Amino acid sequence: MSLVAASCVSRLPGDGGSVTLMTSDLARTTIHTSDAMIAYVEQRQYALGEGPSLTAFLTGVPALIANVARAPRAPWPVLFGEIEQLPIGSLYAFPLRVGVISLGVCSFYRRAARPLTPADVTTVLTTLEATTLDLVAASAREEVEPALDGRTHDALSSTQIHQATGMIMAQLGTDAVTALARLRGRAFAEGRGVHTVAHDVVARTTSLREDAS
Amino acid sequence: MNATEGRSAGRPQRESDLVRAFVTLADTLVSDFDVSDLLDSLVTHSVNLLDADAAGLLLSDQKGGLAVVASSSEQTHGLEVFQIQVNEGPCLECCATGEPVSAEDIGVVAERWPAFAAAAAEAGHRSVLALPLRVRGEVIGAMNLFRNQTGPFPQIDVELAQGLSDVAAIGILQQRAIQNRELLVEQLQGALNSRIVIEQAKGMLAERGQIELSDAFAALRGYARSSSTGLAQVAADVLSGSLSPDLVLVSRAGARKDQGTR
Repeated sequence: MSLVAASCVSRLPGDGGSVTLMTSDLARTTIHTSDAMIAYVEQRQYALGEGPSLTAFLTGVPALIANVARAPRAPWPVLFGEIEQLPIGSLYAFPLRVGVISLGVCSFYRRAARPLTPADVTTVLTTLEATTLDLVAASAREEVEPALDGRTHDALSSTQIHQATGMIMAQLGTDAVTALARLRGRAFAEGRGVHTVAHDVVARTTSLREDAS
Repeated sequence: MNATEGRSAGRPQRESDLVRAFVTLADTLVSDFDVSDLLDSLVTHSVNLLDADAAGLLLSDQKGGLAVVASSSEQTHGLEVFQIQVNEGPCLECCATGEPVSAEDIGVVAERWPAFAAAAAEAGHRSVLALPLRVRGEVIGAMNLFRNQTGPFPQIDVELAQGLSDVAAIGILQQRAIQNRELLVEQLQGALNSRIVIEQAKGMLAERGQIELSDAFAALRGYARSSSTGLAQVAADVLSGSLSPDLVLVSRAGARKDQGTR
């Protein structure tokens, strides 16, 4: 998992970044930090119980601060008081999320305050989508073709993948993470694309019920 | 309101329906905001109020593509997804240019959008209007209205549809002024993820009840309305197991007429 996280952070348009896995009761494991700066910022957030990473995880929505020096202090007064001395211009936190699946958060910073360009946003979102997929598979110990470094683009843009995830949850009586991992595992085992298998699940020509044992 | 009078002769209900639609949309904005409810209300009202047979709503996925976030039926959803896949059609053009795109006769535009024209015709649609969702000059998506006959949309309907779209755009951004891209990313990602939660819940309910996805959505919507809960919240509760899927499924049949729950 830490390899996936390291590969993810290296692709982000920032000077350093981290990936932290979290559960709904806020138990957490930081699986990668690329430098001491982001490691400190992450650690302080969890110690203080406030900060963009926590907000992004709890709300499921990115918490993006393009200019730390000029941002309102109100949401995270203590943290910002601590980090204003540090050379952190921008601080960005994105939830690792697919619908109800919520694995944790990825944060990164830029030394100089610089807003995200549309191209940056595209890079971040595609990278995090693939990372989330790989973390889903890893957490369910499912063998899949890596989405982040894989040659085929195993993206989640298809509605049918999400519908199939829900159907597999009901078929196997499992949670969404396992269902999505199983869907990708089935595609990998059969050498087919995940979209194709999702389509068949939704059309009810394929069921994962027999995989349950 | 005066402008509608000439047109509303054949639809005496329209003015009060219109008032109700805007009140519902405004209501979604102030109390317990759930963006999925707002978008769903928008397409439902558009079909009910305007001279349209189907409606769909696309938002920028901020990865260079578009995502379908609401549609008046599963068939329309499919048609919208198809446009994205084949990368052609009025909705994509509207999002790219930020200008309304109208095709008064889909048969005539077959050369311009061959795959789209064929799929739209198969769905029974003969004309289409795509309107941009704009926030301060930035296009964040488009609303598409389909009709089963050819000809232009009445001008008043076009204006009304743009008004509804503008309300939706404000709603997506939760009434906050967009001073920067960061806020837009935050809000759009929230809206897109809510839709994913709903799709996951639709799949689960469809499998559990052995019903069609469209019926699963009707159940979700029925339960959300009868319990005054947001669509995305009901979907999340079903998926987390804190709300019994069977309880939601029973609200399918009676949802529109009565409370539908036991």
